[in-house]
Amino acid sequence: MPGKGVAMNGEHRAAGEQLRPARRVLVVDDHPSFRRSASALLAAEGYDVVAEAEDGASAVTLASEVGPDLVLLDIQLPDMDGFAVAERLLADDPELEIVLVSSRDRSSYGPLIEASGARGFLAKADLSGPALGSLLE
Amino acid sequence: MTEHSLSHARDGPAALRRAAPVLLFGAGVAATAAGIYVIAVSNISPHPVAQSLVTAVVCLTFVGTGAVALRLPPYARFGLLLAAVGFASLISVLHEANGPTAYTIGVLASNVVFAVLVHAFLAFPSGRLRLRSARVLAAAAYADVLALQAVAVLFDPLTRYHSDHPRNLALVDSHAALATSLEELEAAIAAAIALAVVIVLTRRARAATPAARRQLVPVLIGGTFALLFFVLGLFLAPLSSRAGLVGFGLGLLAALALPAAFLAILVQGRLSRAAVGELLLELRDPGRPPDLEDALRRALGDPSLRLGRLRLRSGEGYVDGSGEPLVLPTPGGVQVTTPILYQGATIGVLVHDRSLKLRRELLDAVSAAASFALANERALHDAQLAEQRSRALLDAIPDGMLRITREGIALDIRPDVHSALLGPPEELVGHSVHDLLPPELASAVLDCVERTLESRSLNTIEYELVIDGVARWKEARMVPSSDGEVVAMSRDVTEQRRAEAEQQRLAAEQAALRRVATLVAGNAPPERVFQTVTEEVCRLLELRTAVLHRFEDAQTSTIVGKFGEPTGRFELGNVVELEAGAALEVLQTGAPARSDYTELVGTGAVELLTLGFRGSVGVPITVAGNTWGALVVALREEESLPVETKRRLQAFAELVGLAVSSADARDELAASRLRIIEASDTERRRLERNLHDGAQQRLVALMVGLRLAQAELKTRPDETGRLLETLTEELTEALTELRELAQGLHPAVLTERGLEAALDVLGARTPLPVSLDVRLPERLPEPVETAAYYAASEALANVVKHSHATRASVRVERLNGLVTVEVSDDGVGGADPDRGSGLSGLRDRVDTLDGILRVESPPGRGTLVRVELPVAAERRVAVEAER
Repeated sequence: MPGKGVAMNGEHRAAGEQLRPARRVLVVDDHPSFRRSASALLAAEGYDVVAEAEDGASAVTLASEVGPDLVLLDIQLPDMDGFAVAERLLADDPELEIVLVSSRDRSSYGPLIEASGARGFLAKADLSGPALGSLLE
Repeated sequence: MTEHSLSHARDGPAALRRAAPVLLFGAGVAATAAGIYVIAVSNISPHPVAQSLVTAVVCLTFVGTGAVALRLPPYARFGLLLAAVGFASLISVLHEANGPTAYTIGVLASNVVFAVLVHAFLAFPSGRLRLRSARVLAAAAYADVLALQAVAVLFDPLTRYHSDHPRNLALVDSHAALATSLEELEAAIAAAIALAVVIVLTRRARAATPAARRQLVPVLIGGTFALLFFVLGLFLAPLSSRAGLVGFGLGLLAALALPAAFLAILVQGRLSRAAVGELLLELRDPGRPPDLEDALRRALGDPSLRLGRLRLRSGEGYVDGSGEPLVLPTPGGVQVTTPILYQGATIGVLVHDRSLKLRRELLDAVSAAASFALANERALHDAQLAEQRSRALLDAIPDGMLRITREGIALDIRPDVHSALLGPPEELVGHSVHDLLPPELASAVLDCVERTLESRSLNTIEYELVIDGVARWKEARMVPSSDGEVVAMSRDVTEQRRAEAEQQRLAAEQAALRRVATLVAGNAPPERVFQTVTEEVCRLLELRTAVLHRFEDAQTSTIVGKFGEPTGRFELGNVVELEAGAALEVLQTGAPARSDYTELVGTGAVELLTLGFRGSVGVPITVAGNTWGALVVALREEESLPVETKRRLQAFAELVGLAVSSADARDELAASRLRIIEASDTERRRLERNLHDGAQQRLVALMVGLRLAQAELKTRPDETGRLLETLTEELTEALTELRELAQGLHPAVLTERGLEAALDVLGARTPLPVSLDVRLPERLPEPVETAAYYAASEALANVVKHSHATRASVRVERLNGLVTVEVSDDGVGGADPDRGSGLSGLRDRVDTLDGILRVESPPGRGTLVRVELPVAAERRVAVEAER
């Protein structure tokens, strides 16, 4: 469902390029309010949010289209869960950095996160530039 | 008085009785001699020789006969009368005496013989004057010939006789004419008396019994002539002494008829005694059963005699030979009765002519003979009766009887109802037991006879016979009857044996049913019950194959139980199409059925015939009123249908039905529990999802937004202010969602204020007018209250969603431990209670509380949801909670 992907304008990209080559981010979440907030926050923290997806299938499609460096991936999605999406994204690009997010805490998923091949997990409430940065170092 | 003198006192009269006849006859001879002497020396006797002869004949005959009669007690009195006539006839001889005294006595008493004769005639043959008329006549005769004669003699000079006759010493006044007149008067009276006597005798003869008449007639004739001559003599005597004498002589000769008649009676008595002898001989003759009454009549010479036998049964009254009641004569009649005694008891009675009483000895002899005859008769009758009773007793016993010798010869045979005899019993008497009975039985019987004779006690054998194709059990009991002989009674014990077998059969059936019932009660899996039932049925009915069908549709069944031999398609687990046969018939009729494969068409029937089955019997298995399946037993060619197959199968089928319905109930319970768990899980999922998708997401976004605001507060204050406004709206939304969520979990007002308040809130929240009618005296137990609330809530939700109603009403009432919740609307109706998870969840909740949910929803006429919940459920729930 490529139509569900949302391309970002270039304003944020320009802001991030001033410091260092900004990481290109794909935000995947079915809740529009979180997508909006997260994108705004990441942009403010110097990330380049290149696209947003509201379900797993459109995430996979957008990823292949825009080629992000980082995917902020919600675990609970309407069509498939974040682990399955991560598997397929990594199958296409094993170097892709994926950070799983959830409004639940880490203990709700435990070993599933380790096994997913993602760089890490962030509770949505803990989302911030430094927190994301520490996972990616 | 001493004993000695007593015996003398008895001997005296007896000796006198023996001597009296001799003395009497001696006196008669002496008197006759004296009379003849008087005549012989008489100067006046006109015919001394003739007169002597007549005198001697008459006197000796009468006195002699009188002496004979004196020896026979009944006739003794008459004997004296006869002798009196003899002596009286001699007195008139004095009329010829030469001396005046004797002559005068002779004249005075010359006619007394007339009166004595009248007396004797009237008293024949008993010597007694029974009738008053007879007594009057006799007295008149005595008065006439003694008193009137004496008066006449007082005046009679007796000159008309010989001139040389002696002087009349009694003469008072010689008055010949007067004397003659008196004497003629005397003669006239005598004539009248004679006539009267003849009339009396004639009457008696007429009235007499034939036996008596035969005796009376000669007396009547002789008497008539004798008295006629006497009367003539009396009339002639005053005129001519000679003529008078001739008349008297003829009269006396005619009177000889009297002793003659009497002697005739005695002779007849002799003959009768001979008849008694004959009678006894006749009665003794066994070849010819005599007519006893007729024989007695002949012996007694009384054709009117009747023989009465004492009634055997009652012992009262008498019957004649033909069994009719015998009427006894009244006393004083012509006939009298004489009892027939045997060993001191009266066993009969003779009704006979009164005259026979005078012949006591004969009567005694005949009645003695009759008593022996009657006693014999009775003994014979008793014996016949006893035999009849024994026969009846034997006939009443249904057992067969056989009297048999040690050698096996049948002496007496009586077959029982189901006889083993090889021929008709009457032809088999005298034959060997080997000719009577089948060989094996004959040997067994002979063995038993031997044992019985050896042990001298009861011995029993049992044997089985096939009679008219039916097996029968017999028991023969033998007892020794006499030397070398036993009596065997054979009894049919088939019914007893059958009852025992039936009892065993029932016990086996009960045991088999109990085994199955134990399985059912222990909640064994239905498959195991099905298998056990087919096995038990085969074992019990002694058949080889049983199949249990579960019907799937109008033509198909699944074989869920099978025991026995291969049955083609009908093997365990197969789904078979039913073409014909007992199972299909059970499926179609719901009733027991029997089928014969040879009458059926279709491959199934042919297949079963090929496998050696000839038919089947099936009974329905009913679960909740529906025909669930069939229990079928198959019959092989060589197997016959056991008794009561259907009934016995039905007992098992009922247990199968019970097992199925109890398994169904268990399944339904498990499903209900599962649904409750699922509903609860779904609810939790929904809640988690709602929280996660709603408030939580908003809060997370808020958190992220706040961080952003924090980061940009200094650099972009204006944007941050807008961002905070957005975040405030977001927070308001989150709060609203949380509130709604909490409201859906459990209405707080229900917990705090009770059902009525909660329903009030519910009604107010419902987007159409809801009227509320709650009648609860107090708060309900919590589970009931909650269930009632959700019933109303779910029903109202359905009203809003489906009914297109304009209004709804909720009514809650508690009555007799039952809470009823009714929710009705005026909508379109046509609701399907099985549709939608809401009602289904409600039904489970209601079931848990043992309640009832009913939905009435006729199309176009609104919907009524009615829930009934027992309040007593509180207790049960409490108990479960304790566990």
